[in-house]
Amino acid sequence: MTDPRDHQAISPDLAGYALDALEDDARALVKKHLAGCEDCTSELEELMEGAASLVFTVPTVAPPERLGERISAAIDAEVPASDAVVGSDRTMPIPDVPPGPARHIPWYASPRLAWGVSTGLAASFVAVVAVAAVIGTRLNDRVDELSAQVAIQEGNIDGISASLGTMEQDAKQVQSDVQQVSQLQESADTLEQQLNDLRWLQYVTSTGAWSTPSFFSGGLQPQAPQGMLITHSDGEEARLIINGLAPAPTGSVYQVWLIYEGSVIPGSTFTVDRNGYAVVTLDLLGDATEYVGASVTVEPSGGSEIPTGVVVLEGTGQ
Amino acid sequence: MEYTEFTDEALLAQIVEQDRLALECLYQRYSTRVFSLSYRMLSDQGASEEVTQDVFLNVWRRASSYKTGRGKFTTWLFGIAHHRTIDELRKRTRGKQRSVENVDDFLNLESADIQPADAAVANSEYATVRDALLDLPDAQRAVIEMSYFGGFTQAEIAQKLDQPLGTVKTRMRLGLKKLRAALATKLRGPEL
Ligand SMILES: [Zn+2]
Repeated sequence: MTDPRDHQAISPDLAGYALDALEDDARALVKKHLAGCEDCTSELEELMEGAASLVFTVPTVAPPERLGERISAAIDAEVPASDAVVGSDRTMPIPDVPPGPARHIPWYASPRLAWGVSTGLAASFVAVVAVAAVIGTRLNDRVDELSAQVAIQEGNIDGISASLGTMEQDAKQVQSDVQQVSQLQESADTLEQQLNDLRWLQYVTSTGAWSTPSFFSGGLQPQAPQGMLITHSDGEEARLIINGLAPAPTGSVYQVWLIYEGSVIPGSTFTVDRNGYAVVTLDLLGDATEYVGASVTVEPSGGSEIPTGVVVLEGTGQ
Repeated sequence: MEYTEFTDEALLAQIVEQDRLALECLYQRYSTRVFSLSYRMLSDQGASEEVTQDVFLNVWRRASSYKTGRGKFTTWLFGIAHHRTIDELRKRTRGKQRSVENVDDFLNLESADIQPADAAVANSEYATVRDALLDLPDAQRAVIEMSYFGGFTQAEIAQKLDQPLGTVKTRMRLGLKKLRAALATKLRGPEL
């Protein structure tokens, strides 16, 4: 792409470009060349950094208070409120959102269930752990039992839905089937919610030496995904247990970010199961005291070096 | 989680998602720097407010055009701020021959002319950049200040200093590289 003669002619102008000291036509030529020349792009980065540092030599004068309000008003004027919802991501494909009231739920909330704050589990967590430790094995039985029930319910739903799809029924039958599906769905949702609460307790009580959890939320909606972060007493590891998170869009994954004082460190990528459930192990770099929180974003498959996508969960550490 | 604990880049990622609080947080961090730069160059409160407003509206609208891994956020931000201010400066001086006295102002710049910024926030950056700037050979410092703060093009500078254009370009390049190296060494350790 790059003509070496171009490079010879353009590269001496990079400093002028960084300092905004070129005439318009010369600037346009540099811009055009930069698109195809990695060497020049890299050098310009360095020169721009040098130029930007000059800002720190300027005596500071604070702008008037009202300027912030004016900017805010200018943004209000240009963004229709309906476009400002969380999750209006421009870089990621977003699954279709159902119409009606459900459109207030962020797409990343699993439509099926969520647990946590709404069940009261979160508030009473510490007390519950003590009880759960006693009911130990029965908890495991109950999880198996509920899992089987959920599977049956879903089988029923699939069966009726399939017959609905054949269109060989009269209108009355269709109406009755639709009603039945919605009832079954509701009951399956409740079961799944319980199941996931139990899975969570099962998980925590099967381990030792974990901190009380900090709670993560993906929003204020009851359907919003929830997360709980527990840190191991050795300070080297934490686990984030997530529920109610819809599968990430095709071509993307979820990624955890550990937020330390002044920096964000990429954590592991993960996917959720069909119940929107996942347990993610986090490496705290041996120093749990330094980290101040974590968040989960949607990132392109393979993960990113810094967060680029929608934040679906966030919370502060201990 | 407190946005004040986010890195600039993490806040920008939030702004891509149309998060107003993240923009507010970046505004808190950098509006004074942006405004001060513009004010230093334009000496006009109203115009500097306009520029600052434009710059942050630009951040809001174009957050997704910031390329991660392609330089620091502040480089991008101050680049936008400077470019926007230069536009304004050139609009004002278009058609007018700027006086040679302006050039002398830059050539005679003394260290007293550069004052500490908000000490708590940027003492290290301030001291580092000021020292690096004062350490530059006069000829390099002059072309950098004339262009960056004075808004002169490299061709204008060559003419005013009666130097070959190629010499001016080289001085700009060497000067910027030294500033950047000084900052990198002091802030990130000597290995860079
Ligand atoms: Zn090139």
